[in-house]
Amino acid sequence: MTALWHKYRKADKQTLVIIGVLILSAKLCKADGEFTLIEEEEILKIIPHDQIQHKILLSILEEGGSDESPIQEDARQLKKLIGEDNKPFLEFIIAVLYRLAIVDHVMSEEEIRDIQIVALEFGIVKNPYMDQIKAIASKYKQRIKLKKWSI
Amino acid sequence: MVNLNNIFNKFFPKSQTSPIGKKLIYMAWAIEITVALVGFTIAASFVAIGREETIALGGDVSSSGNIQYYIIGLAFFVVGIMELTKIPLATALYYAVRPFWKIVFFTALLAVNFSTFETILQGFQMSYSKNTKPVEILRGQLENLIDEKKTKKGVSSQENDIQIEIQDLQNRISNLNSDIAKINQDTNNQIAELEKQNSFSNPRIETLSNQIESEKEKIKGLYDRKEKLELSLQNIKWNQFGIKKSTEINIENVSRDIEKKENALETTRKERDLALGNSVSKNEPQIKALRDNANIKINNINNQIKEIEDNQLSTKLTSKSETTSKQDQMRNEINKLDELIDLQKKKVNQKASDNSFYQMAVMIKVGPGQWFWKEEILKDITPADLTQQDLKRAFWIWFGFLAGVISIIGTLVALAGLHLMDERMHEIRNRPLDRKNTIRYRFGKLIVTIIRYFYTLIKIKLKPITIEKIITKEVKVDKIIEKPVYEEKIVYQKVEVPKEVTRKEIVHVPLWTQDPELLGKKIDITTENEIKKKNKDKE
Repeated sequence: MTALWHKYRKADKQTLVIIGVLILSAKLCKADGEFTLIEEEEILKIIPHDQIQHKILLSILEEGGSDESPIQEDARQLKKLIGEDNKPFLEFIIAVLYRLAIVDHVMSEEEIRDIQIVALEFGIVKNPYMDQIKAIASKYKQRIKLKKWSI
Repeated sequence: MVNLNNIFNKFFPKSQTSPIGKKLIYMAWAIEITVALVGFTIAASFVAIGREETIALGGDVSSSGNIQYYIIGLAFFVVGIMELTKIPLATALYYAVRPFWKIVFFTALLAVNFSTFETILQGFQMSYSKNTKPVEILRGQLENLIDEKKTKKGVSSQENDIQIEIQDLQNRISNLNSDIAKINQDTNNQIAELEKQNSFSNPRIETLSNQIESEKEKIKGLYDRKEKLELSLQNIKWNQFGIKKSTEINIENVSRDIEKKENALETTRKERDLALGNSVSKNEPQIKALRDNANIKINNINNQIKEIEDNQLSTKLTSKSETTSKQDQMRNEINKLDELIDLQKKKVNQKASDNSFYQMAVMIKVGPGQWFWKEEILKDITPADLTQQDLKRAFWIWFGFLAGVISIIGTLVALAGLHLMDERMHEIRNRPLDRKNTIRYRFGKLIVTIIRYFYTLIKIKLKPITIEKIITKEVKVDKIIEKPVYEEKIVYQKVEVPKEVTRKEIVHVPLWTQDPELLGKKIDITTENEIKKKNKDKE
């Protein structure tokens, strides 16, 4: 368990899931070396929240971005929380990560690698093929408001 | 500690409803499997009953005698299997997109539900007949006793019926008698009419009749005159200028005239009677025919009366007297039956007290029976008072309703589960209502308006009515009497003081002079005045 997960270990299961998604998102966005403001805004747009929760989310994102542990570790923790049975939710998280990866119109190799790692860790895909991940993302295109050109 | 639960719920709302939906699907399966088991059990029971009946009839179990029970059993087995298709059909209906398939699946689902209803009802029917059998045997005995009492009462009430029939016959006889009287009257009228017509047809008789009438009038006038003369004669005291004598002579003359006229009248009458006698003798055959006809009719009616009296009335009277003699015996028998009925009713009530169905039937008769079917409940209802109609109604209300609910609940639970598990549900829920011009939106708005209208209507109806009344009450109030305070007031008034204005007017005063210069000279008054004014200004 990384230091970040240890910090929030006493939180509710549902809260932990959201923290996990935020950590994964922050790490994915930082994978290409820069965590841009557009990416930050996109994350906050995807995660529906109230105004009073805005600062908390930003602080978690900052913590997630500055965490040194590999994304694979966080994906494993998240999968443990959600459980293997809840495949639609795991697929939905992959779709969210895909949308974050393409928000700046450029999907870097690091981002592709990280998404593939998370997808493999979640057990959604058996091989690290991007086509499968794209198919999953297109499944949730309406909910994550994915544009047609991006798939 | 950070709490982001609400974010999670919004982020992935399906996570909230999906597990419950899954549970509902499991429950729907549990319901359907149980219903299918009911079908299988009914199938098995039919087969078992068939075997028992075949053995009871002394047949061989393996013979083809009980094959029909196997067929019925298999039919119910199929029904049991059919129950298991309900959830797949509900899923197909839920996810069907085209209206054609929706209609097809809906029809299939409706058919399966109806079959479930029938199966469950069959189960209830079997249970109902098994549970109510002991009570029904007692109730059957009770109904027999009641029927017997009714029959006896019917026999005892025969006396009244016979009396009514006798009364009817007597009425018929009296009607026939009145017919005879009418025939007689009609015949007499016809004869009189005939005579009258004949008299008018003979001009001589008419002339004589007119003459008699005029003579009568004249005689009457003469009598009046005689009476007046006699009265005037009584008023004359003495023979004044021979008036008395002349009056007496007049009276004698009038008397003579009356005598003459009366003789003439008598003669005329005789002549008319003679003429009439001749005409009557002419009508004799017609009158005779009329009378004969009337007699035939009267004889017929009399025969009818006699036949009624001999054949019908006498029989009725005899049977009435026989029934009257049996009345006491009947009354005793009815009393005995009443006692037996009471005893049987007690037995039925005792037996039915353990059976919940009869208690429910009583409650339905007392409750909804009064509210919806306007049944008059005049006394305490017991299970013994229930009719077959009441029991049937209770069965349909209780078991029918239950069967209906059981038949549809599985499908509804499955549909609810599918809905909760559906991804689209959350999307539709969170979709903003931006298209206000759609038919759906307008229809929804209309429904909402109608509901709101009725809500307001009910609210107004339920609101207590406040009546505003002005009630005058006498309340003692300390009155503060304001006394007028007189203050000296100085009022300054502007009084106009009239000023004396002196106006100078020139008055022409003629002065007598003899000065020749002045004489004929014209003096201008205006110039004079101006000169005087200038002089004054200078001063």
